[in-house]
Amino acid sequence: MTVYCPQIDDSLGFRSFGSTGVSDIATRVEQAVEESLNHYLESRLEVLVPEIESLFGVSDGSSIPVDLDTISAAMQFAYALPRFGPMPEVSADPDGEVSFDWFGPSGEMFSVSVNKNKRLAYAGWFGETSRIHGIEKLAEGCPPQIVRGIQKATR
Amino acid sequence: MPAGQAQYSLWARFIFQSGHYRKLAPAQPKLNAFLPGPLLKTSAIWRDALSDQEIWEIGDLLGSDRQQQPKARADLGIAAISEANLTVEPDPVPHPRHFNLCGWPAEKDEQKAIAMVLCANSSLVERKN
Repeated sequence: MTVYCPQIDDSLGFRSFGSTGVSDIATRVEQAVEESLNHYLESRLEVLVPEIESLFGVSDGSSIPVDLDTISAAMQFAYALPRFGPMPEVSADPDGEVSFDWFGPSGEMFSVSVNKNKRLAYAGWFGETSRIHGIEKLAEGCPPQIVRGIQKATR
Repeated sequence: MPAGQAQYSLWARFIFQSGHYRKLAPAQPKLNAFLPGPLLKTSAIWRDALSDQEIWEIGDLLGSDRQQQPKARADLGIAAISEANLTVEPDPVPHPRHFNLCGWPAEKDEQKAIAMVLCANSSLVERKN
C-alpha cells in the first residue's frame, strides 16, 4: 500500500508529500508531483533571475555597484525562497547589496538584503507596534524567520 | 535642529533609481531609497514653502554631479526624523536647503529597520515631466 504523508516544509502554506511507497505507481506519482512543483518554481525563477541579473553594475552614481559575487548570492537566495506566495521585487541597495522586498495591502513591508558573503539582513514592518529585524546566514533552505516575515507582510 | 535650518519642518528625499520605489499600488518608496551610502549619510532637502517645480529643480542640482535627474521623491515631515532616531546635519553645498541624515547604525538590519520607519511615514511623488 502507498501512503502519502503531508509534511510541513518552509514554503508558504505548502505541504510536500513524502511517499512511503516504493512501487512504480508511487514513483510515478512522486515524479509527477515533483514536475508540477518544478513547473511553478521555474516560472517564478524565469521572472526573478533576469531581474537579479539586470542589477549587475547598477549604481546611481553615488552608490556602490552590485558585483558578481553579490549577484550569485542573490540568485542562491532566490532559489531558496518559498515556492509559493507573493513574488518579491528586487533592487540594488546603495551599498551594493541586493534587496528583496514584499509589500502587503495595508502598508506592511518585509525586506531582505543579500550581500556577497551570503549574509541576509532583514527587517519587517507589520504595523505601528509590530516590527522585526535581524541577521541570518544563507544556507540551503530559506531561514524560518524570513519565511514568517514574508507571510506576515503579505497575508 | 541646527541653527540656520531651524525654521523648516518638511523635507524630501530624491530618488534616482526606478528600483527604489514601487509603482504598483500601493505606490510608495522602498526602504533602500532611504538607506545611507558608505559614509552613513542620507542626503535630503527642506521643502517648506517651495513649489513642486522648485523642489525638482533642487533635485536636478543635486543630481548634476552624477548627470542624473531624480525620477521620484519621498516627502516627509520632521517628526519622522526623531522617530527614526536620526540627526540632521546641514550641508548647504550645493544648495542652502540641503542636509544629511546622520546617526545611522553600522549594522545593516538596524539600518533597514530605521529606513522602514522613514518609509512608513513617507509619501511618494513621481516626476511627471
